[in-house]
Amino acid sequence: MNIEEALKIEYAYMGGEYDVAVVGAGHAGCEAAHACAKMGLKTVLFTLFLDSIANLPCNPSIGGTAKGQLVREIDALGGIMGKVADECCIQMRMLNRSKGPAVYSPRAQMDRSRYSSVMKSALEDMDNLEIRQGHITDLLTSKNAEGKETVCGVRTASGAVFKASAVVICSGTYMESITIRGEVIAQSGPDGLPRSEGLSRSLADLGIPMLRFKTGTPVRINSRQVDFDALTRQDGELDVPPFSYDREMNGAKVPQEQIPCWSLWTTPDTKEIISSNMDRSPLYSGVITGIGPRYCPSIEDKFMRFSDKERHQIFVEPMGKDTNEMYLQGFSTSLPEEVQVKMVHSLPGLSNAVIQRHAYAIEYDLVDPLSLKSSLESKIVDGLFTAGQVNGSSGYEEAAGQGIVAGINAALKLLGKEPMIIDRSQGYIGVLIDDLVTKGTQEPYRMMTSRAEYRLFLRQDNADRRLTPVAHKIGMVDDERFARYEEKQQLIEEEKERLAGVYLGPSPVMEEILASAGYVLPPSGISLMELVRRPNITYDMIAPLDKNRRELPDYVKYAVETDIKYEGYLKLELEKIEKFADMERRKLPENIDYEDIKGLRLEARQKLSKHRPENLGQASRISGVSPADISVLHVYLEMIKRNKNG
Amino acid sequence: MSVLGGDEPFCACSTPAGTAGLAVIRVSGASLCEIMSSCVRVLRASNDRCGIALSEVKGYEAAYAEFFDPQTSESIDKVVLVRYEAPHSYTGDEMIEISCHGGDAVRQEILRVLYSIGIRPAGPGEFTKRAFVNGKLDLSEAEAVMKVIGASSERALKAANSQLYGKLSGRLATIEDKLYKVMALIEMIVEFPEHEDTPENADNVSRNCRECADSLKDLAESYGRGKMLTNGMKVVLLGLPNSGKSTLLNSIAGFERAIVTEIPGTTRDTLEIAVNIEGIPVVLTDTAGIRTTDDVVEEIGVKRARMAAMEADMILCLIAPDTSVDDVKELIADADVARTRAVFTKSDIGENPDKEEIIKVLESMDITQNVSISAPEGINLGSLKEMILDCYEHAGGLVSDEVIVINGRHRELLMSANNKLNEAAMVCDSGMGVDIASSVIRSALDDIGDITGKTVSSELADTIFSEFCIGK
Repeated sequence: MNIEEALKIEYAYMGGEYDVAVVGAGHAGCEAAHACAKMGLKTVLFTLFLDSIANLPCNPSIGGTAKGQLVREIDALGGIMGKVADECCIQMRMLNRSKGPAVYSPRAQMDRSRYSSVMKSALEDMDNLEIRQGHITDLLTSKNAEGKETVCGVRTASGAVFKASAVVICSGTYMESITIRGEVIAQSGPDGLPRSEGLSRSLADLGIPMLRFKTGTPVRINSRQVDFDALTRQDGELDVPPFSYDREMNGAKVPQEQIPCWSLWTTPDTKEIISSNMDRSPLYSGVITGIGPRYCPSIEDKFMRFSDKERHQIFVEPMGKDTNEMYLQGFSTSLPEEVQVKMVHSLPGLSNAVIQRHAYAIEYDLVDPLSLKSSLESKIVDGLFTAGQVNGSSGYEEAAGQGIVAGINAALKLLGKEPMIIDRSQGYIGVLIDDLVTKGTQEPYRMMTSRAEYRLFLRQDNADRRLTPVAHKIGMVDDERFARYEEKQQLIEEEKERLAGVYLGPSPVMEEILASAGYVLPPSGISLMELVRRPNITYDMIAPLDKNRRELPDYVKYAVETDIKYEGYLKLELEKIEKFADMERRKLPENIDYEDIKGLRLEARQKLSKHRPENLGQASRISGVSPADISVLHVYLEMIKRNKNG
Repeated sequence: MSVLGGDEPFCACSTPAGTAGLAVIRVSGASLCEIMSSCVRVLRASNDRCGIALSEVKGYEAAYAEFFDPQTSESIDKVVLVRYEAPHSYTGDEMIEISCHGGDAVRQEILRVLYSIGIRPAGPGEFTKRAFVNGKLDLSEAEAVMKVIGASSERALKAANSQLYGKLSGRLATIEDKLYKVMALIEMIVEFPEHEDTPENADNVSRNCRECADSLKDLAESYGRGKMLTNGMKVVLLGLPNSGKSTLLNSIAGFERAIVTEIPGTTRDTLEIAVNIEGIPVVLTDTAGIRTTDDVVEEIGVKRARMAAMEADMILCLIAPDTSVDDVKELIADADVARTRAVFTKSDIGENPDKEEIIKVLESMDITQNVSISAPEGINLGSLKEMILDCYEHAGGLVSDEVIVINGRHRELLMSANNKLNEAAMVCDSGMGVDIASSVIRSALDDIGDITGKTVSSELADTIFSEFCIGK
């Protein structure tokens, strides 16, 4: 359907003209709209329900392993998630402190309703951005000069037509969604919100391959009836840096008054209730056909798959400052409501707990991410971008990471510039998008640090080093912030250089410091840098030896220490990254006919024709494509190049 | 390994496998003189002790050189080198062609050393591909180049499906399995720190790493001809008394100018001498002359000679001019013919009058190879040496069960993984974070994956999900 056809429908009217229309105001949509507006494009953000902007329909928390790194990366790119999360934080922790800096992961509990209202007002305050409640049912397209479908706008259920040169769809789990509790199936979005109807069909009609996934969420209870004496308390930490680099460089701390979380274990009764009601589980009775995530099974799934385990741990998390509502992490289920009540009452301290919201499973339509480019633009429809759960991911942070990339690239496209591609060596965002668009996914994709090849390099503390220069170049980070960033890098480099240059002879003070870390005195002089390089010796520990040390912010000291300790290993990783980058630079033409290339094995031809990778690096990551096939492609590329030059 | 390669050096043997007088190994890439100076000494004369630098060798002129193992400083072979300067070479990059003595062992050893100094094995059709990329081949040849790559990868695939490879991948699967479990545990700790199944620390990581490192080392050490390469190929000289055994023994020892050691524990009646023939360690065993005798002591000697022949990898049956047809029949009566070769000795004194008949007898028993020599005069000793090497080459039956690795590249990868795992163990013990240990183990798994074809990222996620019960 094009604009003219849309305007012919009954009650149709022209609602407005924009550069970019973002459909869906979840975590992906908010970042996308924020980025487009920040880059100066006239942007509209559509939501099904204004009060649910940036809703947290599952965990009331942001960050965690790999996800914390994603939030830092979004912030380094000039995104908004980290700032809002810092503002709404009611508890903060740094996970993995004993396991090495590469896997330190910040995680914060959120005040859920505040998160939504802070994000809403932040976006409302932005220039170039309009927020509208509306139900988008159709993507409007016309054929361009080359006969390719190209977006020209969107249409709402009420007949409004909006022109837009680029559209970013961030429909989350809303497209044609159904929620399931036992035998009860409802045509509904998450949290009882309206679902999106028609849009999925509109995309499929354009030839976009669609998939259907399943996910779920646990029970929420009122804390008034909970006996907390039966639960284990878990407090936050006060010395964690905030998500946002701006705040960190301003010396801002995380809130010093925090709300605790709690944990408990299921009882034999819980197991008994679940097993005697398994016949009512839609997952096992065959009602649910969508593919669920392995890392996020429901409680009944856990008991079924690991039947030798007698109990499972459940975390009880506050939903905010101004509410008694609490979230039962680990207690996701699609069993009927009446069974859920019995299950909750079987838990220690919760025998009288009142369920405020029931758990449910949800099934939804999504786009097969194999049909996307690395820029998150569709290979099929020009000017259409998709981000978030609609691309097969799971999690707020994964969604936001894609949202900012899709938003930036929609803007760059309209500005006539090359897309911004974050590769696997630059960030978790790059790993996430590359995995989705080159390998596709069989289940909602969750980011894990082990998915990254260059994990030592992709740390939560250096996301700014990896991404802020890129963001500055495209206008997502202003000059003022960039100057402060550069100042920080200069401090780090100067301090490392200084430590390398200071040599000290053996002394009683040194002996004492070394002994405390289990070392003996070296026979001759040693530099401060060599001392810091040793395991168990910190930058702060050698202060008594370092008379000329100047006062430096914690984040500089931390970066200096990490750089020095990791130097050797980082060098190895960087060598690998260089080779990797060489492959990524070799672009494969869009119209390449793999059937025509002699020397490729049959399997490789089929896989390459199906996945249509953008460069040699992507091609090499497709299973079934061997190094010899890549070698053949390399020769083919050289042939094309020489054909052109000759 | 980088698939694109660029001008990073690579090498391959350009002559077919199997016995030949010479083998040619080609090396292509940047800074070859610098890299290869660690294993090549160019000699101006055969008695030149210091040699000259490789970079002083003029391009396109043959140079005589010693190829040695930089780690042990032991000589591997005397070779002839030709240097080609970029861009006037087949590939268009700097190239060095090494002509070495033919035979698997020498060739494999030279390749092993090249790999160990950072010159990687060439990919399928890579010399031709490089020539094309550097513009040495015409555009019209591009399709042919792609076909060459395709075809050589098919061949490599066939080789990969061989029985021996199956044995290697079987052993590696066990090690990989163990390492993936270690990694899964580390990843579980890192990825799901608050999960009920997650212990605070990964116990036994360093122990498991060391165990795997040791297994990999064992595999790597089976490289080459396994037992034969480490312990030497056992060649037994069998003959009547005074058939020239000791003379032959001494001449080979002298001829090879190898270190001759009397191996302790040998009895007066059998004497073992370790020599090095073309880089292959050979243990020559001199035995008491075989004859029927009433002398008790001598009979024990004869028995021992027979025993030695039973254990031998190769038997040289020495036939003097005065050895009769019946003597020969008795000599080879219970010898394993597949391992037996005939040597007519003392050709300087005269020919055995029954030589033709003896050869017929030998052939009737399937002993088809023979050679006539004169040890003192040094006549045909070269041919005899060839015969020994040939036996070594075709010693399919001699490859023991412990031999798993026959590919030098595999050996390098296994050793590299071995080093990394030992380092990972050290990192764990030193109290550094598991993040580094995991990065090092991952890199070791990448090395093993280069042989088995598994990729870490996908395998790892699967292992984590199958081992642990993870949920929100």
